[in-house]
Amino acid sequence: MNLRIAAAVVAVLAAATPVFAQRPVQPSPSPSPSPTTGVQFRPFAVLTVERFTASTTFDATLDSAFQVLWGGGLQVTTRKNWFVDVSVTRMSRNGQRAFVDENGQEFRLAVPLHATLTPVEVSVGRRFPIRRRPTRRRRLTVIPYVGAGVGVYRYTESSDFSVAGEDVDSTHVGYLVLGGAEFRVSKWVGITADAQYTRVPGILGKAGVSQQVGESDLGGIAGRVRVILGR
Amino acid sequence: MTRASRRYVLLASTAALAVFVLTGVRSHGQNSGDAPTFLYPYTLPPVDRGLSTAEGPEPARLATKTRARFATTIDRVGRRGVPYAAGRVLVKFRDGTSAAVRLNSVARVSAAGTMSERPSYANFDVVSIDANADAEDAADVLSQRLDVEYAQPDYRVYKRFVPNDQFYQQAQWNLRMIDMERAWDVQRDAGSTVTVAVLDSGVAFENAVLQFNGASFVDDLDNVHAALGPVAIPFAAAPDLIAPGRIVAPRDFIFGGVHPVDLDGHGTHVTGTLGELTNNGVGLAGVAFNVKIMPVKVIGGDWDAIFGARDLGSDDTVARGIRYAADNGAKVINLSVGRNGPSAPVVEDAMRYAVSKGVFIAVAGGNLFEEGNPIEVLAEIASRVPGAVSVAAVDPSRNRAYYSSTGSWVEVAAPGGASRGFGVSGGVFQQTVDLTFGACLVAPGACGTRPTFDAPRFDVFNYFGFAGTSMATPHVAGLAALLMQQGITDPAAVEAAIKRFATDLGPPGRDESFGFGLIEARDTLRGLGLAK
Repeated sequence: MNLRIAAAVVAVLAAATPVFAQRPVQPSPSPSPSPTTGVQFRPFAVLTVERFTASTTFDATLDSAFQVLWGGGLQVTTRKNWFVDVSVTRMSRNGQRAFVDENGQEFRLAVPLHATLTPVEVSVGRRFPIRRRPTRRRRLTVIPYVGAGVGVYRYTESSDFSVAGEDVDSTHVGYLVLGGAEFRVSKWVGITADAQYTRVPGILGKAGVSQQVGESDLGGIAGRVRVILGR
Repeated sequence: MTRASRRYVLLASTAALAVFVLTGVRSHGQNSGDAPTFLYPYTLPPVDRGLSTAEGPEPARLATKTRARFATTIDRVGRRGVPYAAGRVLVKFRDGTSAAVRLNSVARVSAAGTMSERPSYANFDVVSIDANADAEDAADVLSQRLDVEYAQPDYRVYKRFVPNDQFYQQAQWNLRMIDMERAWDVQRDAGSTVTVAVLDSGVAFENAVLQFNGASFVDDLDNVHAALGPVAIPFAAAPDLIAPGRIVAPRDFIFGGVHPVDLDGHGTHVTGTLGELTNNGVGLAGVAFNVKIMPVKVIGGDWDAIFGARDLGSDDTVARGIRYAADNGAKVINLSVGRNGPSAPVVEDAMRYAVSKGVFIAVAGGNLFEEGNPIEVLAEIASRVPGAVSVAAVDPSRNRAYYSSTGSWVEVAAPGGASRGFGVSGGVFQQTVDLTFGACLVAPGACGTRPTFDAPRFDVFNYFGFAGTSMATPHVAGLAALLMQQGITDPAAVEAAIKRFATDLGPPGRDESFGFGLIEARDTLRGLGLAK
């Protein structure tokens, strides 16, 4: 499944044409990465490693509180360095049903469990291009940014031996803030690295291990790396 | 034997048993306490007398996979409360309906509706609709159309393991009460890698003729019974309990030796609840029906006394039995015995030793609620040892069984049965030796006018309904074995899981009648997901 998603993202990126970026660029005395031609549409692929706040729940059932999400999206930037990101990512992971004893020790029961998380996130933020004179030694341009947004998080959970009402398919709204920097590696390619904090109430904490251990947030702190096409 | 005379023999023998248990047997045996001599294998088939309609004895003083893994389509639950596969409707169009009309009908219920090629062995079509659409609504709309004979959602079906044992449906309310059918779906191996030691009156586990020495004795009515002298007693393995390779390291701490045969019936009955052979079309079912069984005899009955056992069960035999089981590979111990009175450090020491070696212990919680409800010593110890659990009994109505002791030591409850208010069917049924057949017991009059008795035989079996926390305990031991089969090997974790998933009964939270509640096998074995 992950391979298929990755392939689809790559295909989207390959087919994407940064139309506005192809317009002739006015000569500028500065190599500022700040767009000078108005709104730009920049597709990206994203790899996220998230440490979920519900760490005991994830540890017990999916072996680790750290999980990987793949996906892609589109960033729209403006002349005045505002940006809007829309992204879709997905986590898909097999684990085991479990329980946690009163001492917090986790026990897995060898009953297969499959969990998916599909965040659709929209964030708005501001970029802060660092305007410096070019030198021979400094070729890498850095653009810090911060942002905040909302997401719709769909969580599914299915297990062997489930009967009616025992599997989960739940969607809830969450919130996020992020901050990082974009590194221009070429005229058309940038790489971003950022940290994102999400809070997703309403899905965990009502039953299952999460209720047992009192964890109700399906968000966490994520490190994201994106490859962005466009200027 | 007529029904009336059988009932008479049963009543007489029960009375005699009670007299002996309450007052003890004054034995005048020669060579008392000698282990029986193995004479030769017993080759006659055991006699299975079927389901007993006689009321059992009063509680003794304690002496499918259901679905494909990781199904890609999440089921939806419709307004009728039944899950169906999302995005599909099964439709039977009337004969002669053209493909164009069919497609038009499909389009009426879902713009994205399509029809694939009819699957093999189907006289209906599978219509794909939007995965988010309500398939029940779609089916209802389609059913109204003239070109449709019927339409329905693709409701899920589930595999249900319901044992085919002859008397299962009729008699085993106790297993259904703790959701064993669905628990077996989760854990089909049923404990095949786990050895459970049953510390009890022995188990009818072998086909053998053993020589005992029947001693003279005086019963409580001062009847003098002449010595039988050396007698060859036939024993048979309980046919619905014993299978080749099932018995591990049998041990007798009453007579000594390796023939812990059951001269009482209690141990075989308890072992049946734990692990009766199941789904074999015969008799009844057991909780962990594939476990290996370690019969460890630590308590004796009347015939053990008559045959000269020096010790009919004590802290000594129980403590040594526990250590023996722990040292010989048992992972679970069932201890359906107990006593009242002063503390038993020797037993506590043994229990802690066993638990330290990874052995879970289930201990009966006591049957003396109506006799002053004294502290049940071994159960009280279990309540203080992580990895050992004391077990109370519930009746078929999920109420505390009238005899089940209450106290701070009660940790969980399990079906123990009760005849009071429920009659014969209120007991926990299992196969055990039928002492009412073939033996003239010691009750005055049971042997006519003779103040004597005949040698018994232990190759005749019947399915009896017994009641007691003794009967409740093997439900917990069996569940522990299934949990261990699933990889929970720490006895304290087994205890935590059983308590965690118990169904709370009585006042909210832990209480002195039910502890944490009635054990729930399926939920315990299935555990928890992240969100549900």
